[in-house]
Amino acid sequence: MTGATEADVPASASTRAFSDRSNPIFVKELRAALRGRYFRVLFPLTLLVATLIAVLVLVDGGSYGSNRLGRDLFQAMFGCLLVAVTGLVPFSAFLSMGNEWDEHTYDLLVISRLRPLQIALGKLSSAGIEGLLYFSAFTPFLVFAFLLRGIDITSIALLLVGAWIASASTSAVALLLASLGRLRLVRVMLMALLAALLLAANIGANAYVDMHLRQPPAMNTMEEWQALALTYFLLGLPGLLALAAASSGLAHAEENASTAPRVLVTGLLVTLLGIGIWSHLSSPSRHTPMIVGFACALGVALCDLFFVTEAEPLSRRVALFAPRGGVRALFAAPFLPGGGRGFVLFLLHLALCVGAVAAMLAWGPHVGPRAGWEVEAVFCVVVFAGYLVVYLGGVSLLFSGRTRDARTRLVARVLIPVGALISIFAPALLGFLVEDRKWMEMQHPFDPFWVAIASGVEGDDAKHWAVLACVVAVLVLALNAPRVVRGLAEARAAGVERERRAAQTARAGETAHAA
Amino acid sequence: MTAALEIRGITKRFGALTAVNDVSFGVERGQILGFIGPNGAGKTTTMRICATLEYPDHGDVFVDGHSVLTYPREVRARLGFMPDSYGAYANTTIWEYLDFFARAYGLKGDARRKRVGEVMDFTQLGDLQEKEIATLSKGMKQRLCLAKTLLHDPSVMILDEPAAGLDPRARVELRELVRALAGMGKAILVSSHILTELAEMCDGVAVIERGELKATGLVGDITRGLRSHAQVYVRVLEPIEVLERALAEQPLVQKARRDGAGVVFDHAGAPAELAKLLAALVAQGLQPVEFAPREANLEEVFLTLTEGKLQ
Ligand SMILES: Nc1ncnc2c1ncn2[C@@H]1O[C@H](COP(=O)(O)OP(=O)(O)OP(=O)(O)O)[C@@H](O)[C@H]1O
Ligand SMILES: [Mg+2]
Repeated sequence: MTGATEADVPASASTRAFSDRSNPIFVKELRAALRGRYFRVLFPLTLLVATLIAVLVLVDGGSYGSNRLGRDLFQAMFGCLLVAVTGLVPFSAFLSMGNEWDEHTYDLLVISRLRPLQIALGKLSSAGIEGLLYFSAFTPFLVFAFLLRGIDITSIALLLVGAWIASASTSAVALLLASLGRLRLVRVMLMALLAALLLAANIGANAYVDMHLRQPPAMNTMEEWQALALTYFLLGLPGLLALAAASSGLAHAEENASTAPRVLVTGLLVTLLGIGIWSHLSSPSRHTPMIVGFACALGVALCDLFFVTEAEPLSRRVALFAPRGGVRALFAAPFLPGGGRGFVLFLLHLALCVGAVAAMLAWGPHVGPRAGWEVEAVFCVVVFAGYLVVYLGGVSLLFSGRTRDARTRLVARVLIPVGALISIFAPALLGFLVEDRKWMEMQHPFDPFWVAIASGVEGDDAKHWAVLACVVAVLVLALNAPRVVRGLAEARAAGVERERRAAQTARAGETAHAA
Repeated sequence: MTAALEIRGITKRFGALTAVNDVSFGVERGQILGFIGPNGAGKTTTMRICATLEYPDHGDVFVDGHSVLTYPREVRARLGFMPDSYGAYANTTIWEYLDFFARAYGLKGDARRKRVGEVMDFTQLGDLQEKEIATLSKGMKQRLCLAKTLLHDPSVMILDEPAAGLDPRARVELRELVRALAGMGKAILVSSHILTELAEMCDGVAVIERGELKATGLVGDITRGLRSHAQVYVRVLEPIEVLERALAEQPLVQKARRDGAGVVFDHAGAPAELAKLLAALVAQGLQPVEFAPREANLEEVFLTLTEGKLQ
């Protein structure tokens, strides 16, 4: 098991080739994990607890002659497995990332040839292996549950795949959180947050399993497979985004850690909108365009809030590698780091969302209850986008002067969603106090969902609020104009400078050649 | 031919604080350059910039001709950096630690195994390869970190206070290792607070204070630049007052002061004048038992150049 044995005992050629190609972090983590206390104590302990629970379920079920003993046992064992793979495994990933900060070893990794994504992937894959060990340890229990009847093999397989995706996804989120907290104190708070998230994920997963087992889908229609694929995708999506965010968070402060996630988010958005358009055109529904528009705008805003709060100026290093030429750099600007440029990207994303909804309603058949409904529906999405512009544009503008400081960035990033939530829910509480029925029921101008929907498709009792929201959004846009212009001009200048340098190098090369 | 490590006008600010201000110097192949300065002078910051862990606000650093700004990956492949504080991984043995970093530097298969063996032999860690890092002494950890730094055979090495916290024996061993590395043609930049240590090890020094480079070059050159006068120590068998009276009559002797059983004075004249002075003392019936110019040492350089202000 130790490394030295590998060095001394001639391993087979294929093992060596595999070991050579593996991610170094993965190899290291695995060695340390297998020797570490965390795993050596928790693994047997989990199995012991699982055995106890299994015995309890069997004794209890056997005493009243339950005919669903297999299902009960499966559910109990699967619950334990979930605790292990979406609780213990992400936690160990969190601790191992945190260790790099505590031990000051991260610098040593940075100056090696490892790239941030490789580091994150290495940590993630060793978490994956740890998860696999739990899976294999639980296999006998699950097989036993199957033999007791009451559960079909398809359900078992589908749920196991789901648990595996959930494990990877939660581990990636844990890595992201750990990568944010270089200070121990911050990390303690992040750990509490992680614990809360994992608890919520476990409760949700158990509820899903319960639902699934009550009415196991037969999996013989296209729709069921589609729904399953969508479930897996949504399960994995936070993990994918967290992995992207973690690896950009691990990158050097002056390095361009922003372009890759910006492209990724844009790509995901286009894919999701494409799926939405396709699904609306293949089976038109009044709800699809609205759900797609709102969900995508909200989702993309959650991602873009990281970009709009980045430090404004281009770092020296990023400027060195700006696209060659002013025009090219200008067009690429939304994908270059910087808050102002991030805001441009965010506006582009919102335009894509609104455009997709408009396309669905223009190309698809008429689905609304009355004439002109389509226009109102698009207006709904525009109003909602207006609120998002106010949240992201407003808060990031307030902080834009000081976002070079990592702590300020963190505050801004937390304040955007938290501030939005407060502005939505606080008026409802206020409504309770002053006994205003409408405000109590979340029908107030600070609730974007109500204003957007009530002003558009559901009649016009909030139209004036919607118009006001649009006016405020335009105001925020105007206030953001200077930093946006600065951001674009800076990108252009960097592009021009790069072209100049390239020409200079080429000239120098020619002279050298001539000489 | 440019120096292996060349620092050109780097400036680094942290908010309002200028940690490094327009610093330039170079380290040649085979040279060991000591980097000295009081706490907070900007040594670590300068070294981190060379190691691509920070990027300069102005200026650039070249490692074997590669800019840290434009080609940091090329620089990383050629540079070994040993930070002042570093930790070790829990549950990891010496061998695993080195094997991991060798992988991280892209070494594969037998080449990796061979290289890990070589650096363990060089740093005399071979017998300890199964030991967990958490159980190592400070001296062993330092050697392990040096071994790690050598894995990819860098041509430039940057050691940030490698001797801090080591006992005398471990320090001597470290010095020998560093000398051996310079002998292999590596350019080495070492920072330290232990000046005698540096003086024995280094070919030259760079002195920094509050982010500004105060002097750079050979210790002897710097002291000659600092002092217009030679310093001479003299001790005679006669009572010290007699010597003082005799010296006071000499025109070229300045600032005579007692130092232990003898007297130290500044002498502004040429060596021939100094010989005449000795002859004059003997002629007056004094019996000198010691008469020697005193070399300025690094400590003196340090204290003269820096003002002792902490940043
Ligand atoms: N990341 C940072 N953020 C803010 N200030 C910093 C940072 N790193 C260094 N400094 C400051 O820059 C100055 C120079 O620090 P540096 O660590 O380079 O000094 P040093 O010469 O290595 O000191 P020592 O001998 O104590 O190691 C100090 O005032 C320090 O507080
Ligand atoms: Mg230091």
